[in-house]
Amino acid sequence: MKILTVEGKTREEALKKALEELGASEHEVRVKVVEEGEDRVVLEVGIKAEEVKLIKEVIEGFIKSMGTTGGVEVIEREGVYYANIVTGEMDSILIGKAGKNLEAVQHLLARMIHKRNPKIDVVIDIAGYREKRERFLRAKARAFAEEVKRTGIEYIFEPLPPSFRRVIHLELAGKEGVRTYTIGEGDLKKVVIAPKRRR
Amino acid sequence: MKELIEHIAKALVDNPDQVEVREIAGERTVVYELKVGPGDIGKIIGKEGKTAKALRTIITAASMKSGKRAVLEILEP
Repeated sequence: MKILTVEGKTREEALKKALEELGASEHEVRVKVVEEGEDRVVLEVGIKAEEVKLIKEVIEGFIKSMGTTGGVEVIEREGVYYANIVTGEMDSILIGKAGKNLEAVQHLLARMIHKRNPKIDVVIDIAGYREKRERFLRAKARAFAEEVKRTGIEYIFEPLPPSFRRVIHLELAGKEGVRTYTIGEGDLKKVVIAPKRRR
Repeated sequence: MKELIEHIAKALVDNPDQVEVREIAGERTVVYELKVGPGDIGKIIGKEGKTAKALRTIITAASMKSGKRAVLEILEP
């Protein structure tokens, strides 16, 4: 498996270099921006087909070792892979309460994939749960941010695993009039939307 | 279950040949003893115990299907 790190004055120049060396076309590669300066761009470029194959191998092995059947679909988005697992009977068990088990599956599969190739980043989903939940949490965050701004009263989310808390923090990061922070410990960590203090 | 633990452990360590899982079955509980090669224990434990915790979570979840409680013991090499 070949993953290149290339440097150029512009993104186009760096990418062209990588494509020539890999003998691939633009739609066949994954591009990750490592560094982007005014006159220097560093990219990491890998061949999608090879990386997807590795991800599938690891995940299919995991499904099989659980003694169940199922499959995985892998797509690439902005340099990161998104792998959606669908099993015959284990989906709800693997998601767990409030996505707790999904976090464990995410951690283990990411470690197993990193062991084979440390440059491959993958987000694990099960039966589309993560995607649906993230979309819902983003909408909820936006709606309650307006509410907090209007009333000046904090809103506290239910306890959520780290990756879901991050979605809320990121969604409201640039938002006027509100700030977010976390309270609680361990599995009981909650995101709070609070009004921004006027100075 | 034994296969699942073995599979995950082997994928995480530097020396997969030295991964051993022993199953000790009780009436309601099954204990799985996981042994890895010297130097590989850190790969199983992970930063702040995160990997071991994730492994235990998955094992508990997967054991719901069998109806017996599964317990993972990670043995020091």
